[in-house]
Amino acid sequence: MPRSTLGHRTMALADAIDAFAKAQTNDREKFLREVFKLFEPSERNIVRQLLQDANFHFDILVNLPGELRLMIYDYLPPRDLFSNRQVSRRWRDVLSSEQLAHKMTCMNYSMCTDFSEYNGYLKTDPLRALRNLAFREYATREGLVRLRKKIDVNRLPSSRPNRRRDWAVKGYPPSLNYVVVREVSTDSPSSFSDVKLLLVPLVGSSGRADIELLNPQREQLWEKPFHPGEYFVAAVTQLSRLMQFENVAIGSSKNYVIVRSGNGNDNPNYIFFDMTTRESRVVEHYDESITDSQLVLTFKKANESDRHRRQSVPVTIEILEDSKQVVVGHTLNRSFLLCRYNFAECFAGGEMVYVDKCELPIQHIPTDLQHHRVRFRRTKNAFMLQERRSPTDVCTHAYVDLKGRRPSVTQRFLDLKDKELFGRHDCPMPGDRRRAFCYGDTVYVANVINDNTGDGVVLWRSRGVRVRDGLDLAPEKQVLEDTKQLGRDFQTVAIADAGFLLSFKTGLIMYEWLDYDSVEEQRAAEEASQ
Amino acid sequence: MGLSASRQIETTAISGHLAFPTTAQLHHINLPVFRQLSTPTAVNMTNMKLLSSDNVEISVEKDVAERSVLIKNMLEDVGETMDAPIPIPNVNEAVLRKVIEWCEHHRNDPPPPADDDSDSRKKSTDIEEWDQKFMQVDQEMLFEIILAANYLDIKPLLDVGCKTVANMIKGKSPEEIRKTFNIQNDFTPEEEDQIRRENEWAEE
Repeated sequence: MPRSTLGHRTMALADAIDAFAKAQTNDREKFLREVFKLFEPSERNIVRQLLQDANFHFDILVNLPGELRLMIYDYLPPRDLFSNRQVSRRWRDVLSSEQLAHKMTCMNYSMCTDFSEYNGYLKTDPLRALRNLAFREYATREGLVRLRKKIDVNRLPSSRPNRRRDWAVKGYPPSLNYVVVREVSTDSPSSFSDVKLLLVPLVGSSGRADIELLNPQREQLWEKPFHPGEYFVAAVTQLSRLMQFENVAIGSSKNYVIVRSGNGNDNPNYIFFDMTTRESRVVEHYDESITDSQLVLTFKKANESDRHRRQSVPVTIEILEDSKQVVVGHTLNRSFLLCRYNFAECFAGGEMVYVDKCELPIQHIPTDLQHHRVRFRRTKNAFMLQERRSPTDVCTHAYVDLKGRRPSVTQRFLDLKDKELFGRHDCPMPGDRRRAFCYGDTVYVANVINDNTGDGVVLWRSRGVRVRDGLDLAPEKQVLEDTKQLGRDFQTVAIADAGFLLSFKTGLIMYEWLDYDSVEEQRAAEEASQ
Repeated sequence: MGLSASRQIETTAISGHLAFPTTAQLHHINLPVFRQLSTPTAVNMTNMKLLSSDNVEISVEKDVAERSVLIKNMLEDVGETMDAPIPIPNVNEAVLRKVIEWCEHHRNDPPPPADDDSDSRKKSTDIEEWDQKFMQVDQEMLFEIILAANYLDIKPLLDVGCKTVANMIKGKSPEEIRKTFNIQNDFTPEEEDQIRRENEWAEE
């Protein structure tokens, strides 16, 4: 090859390098891709070697200032923090930051009803608080439970076993710290003395007795508008002025009780009670006009009573204590509406301010809304919507995440009815022997079985749910040993952040999700015994 | 040089492809010529200079630079006339150019909601496509971009950076993370046994 040509080509390449250096990102990329096609195998090796030698890796996380690390973990679930502690010594050290643990605990769990249990650790050992709460969340997916309380109804001091005709759980607060049960002593109760409401504690030592709920006026408590909150049991008495209205709904939280009473659905009254100041405030004839599945609020007193309204049934009302908001749920045609209002201004003489709404479709259109029971309950950051069309129907559920400003449906309705959940040997009983409940994205089905060893409950668990394709249950079976001899008459399942409660005609049994400390205790005990 | 540069800018502006000269173009332009061009018709094209930590002057349009709250506040304090380059002592040329590239693409973004901080909600790690591609850099550059975004107070860029790192960590096993960031497992066998016992439940 003549020297001059070589020199010329070398110069051309030098120019190309120069041009490449000045080129735009897109052109550079295009150029590289073209050049790559021309590579000989040996040249590819050179590139590979160059890439290996170049250090593209950098331990970003440990080199960042702490405050930026906090920002990164804003985007990660607490579980990742614990898993990441295994990476290296430096990762373990930076991820032991109390500030980080404190922030993650508040950010992820401050809305949980079991948060207060670990509140003490938050000051002394935030990592421990976070670990326990994160582990408990993990336990809800893995079905890790232990017995917290087993109550034989016949042993309750206030109960009248000889006279008892009916006994049922009527309500419980989000924390499941107690449960309210109703005992009826005649087949057709007519007087106040025929019906007893008992408050049964589910925490503390077994010696703590149940308390009979009495109303000083000895008026009969009207059961329908009855609400056990975290700190209050609120009920309407039958002689109350509220009785003239239908659809009374009560919600309560630590400091507030709210009663919604509507004559039908037109212009309900809201009565607010501030339990700390003993103040009450009535917002009369609040106008909730409904047009085409939209709930439009006009923030003023209604002046047209004959406006055409579609049928809607107010279902339930819940208070978000921290934000002084109230959530009202309605079923309306084919959907379920959750509307949020801010009531903070009410006590200052202001109005109730509409915040936003969330609409959930009801997949199975009920023929009669009156028979369509929908409830929602507060568990972890969410309200659970439960739909039962008949007593034999397994419930369908939806989780509505209300943590953010805009509510979002994290789980749509699940229809468990026609699913072959179990093999035929495992499910010989009719549908009313089983109860389904959800926590997060895990569906549980508790099923009463009767085999050679006696009655008992089997718990089935599905991890994760793909709602779109129908319920993809790959259940894992777990026998709850302590449930034996409780009988076959399954009543309800109550689910909370702390655990779940199974109730039977003959008793109650509460399981709590395991936390990290209890697992450690167990492990230590096992090691000590060996 | 001055004359050809001015012609170049006119052509790009007319062709409609690029309404504004790119940073690369601006870099090669004599400032007096550019000033003449930029005033008074195109208000947004006001130019200014930044001085990187390695003493390289980078010319940038004012509204692009003002994506940085730090620079914006500085300009407000100083007033309109700003002929001397603003020193950015913590950011080198390569990183500063990268940050400016991001600011140029996001120059018309609406301001982020102000009340974002108090929100306790879990944030999404979704990143828009352009930003994802922008963040495909080596890890040291990613680290530098995050630091620069923090220093220059460009909250949306800082968020994208943090999300990118979070996505590199999210749901990964310790071994996968060691591979991703080329980290040595420096636990002693006893330590590793202990730390695994404490934390293995947290793995996917």
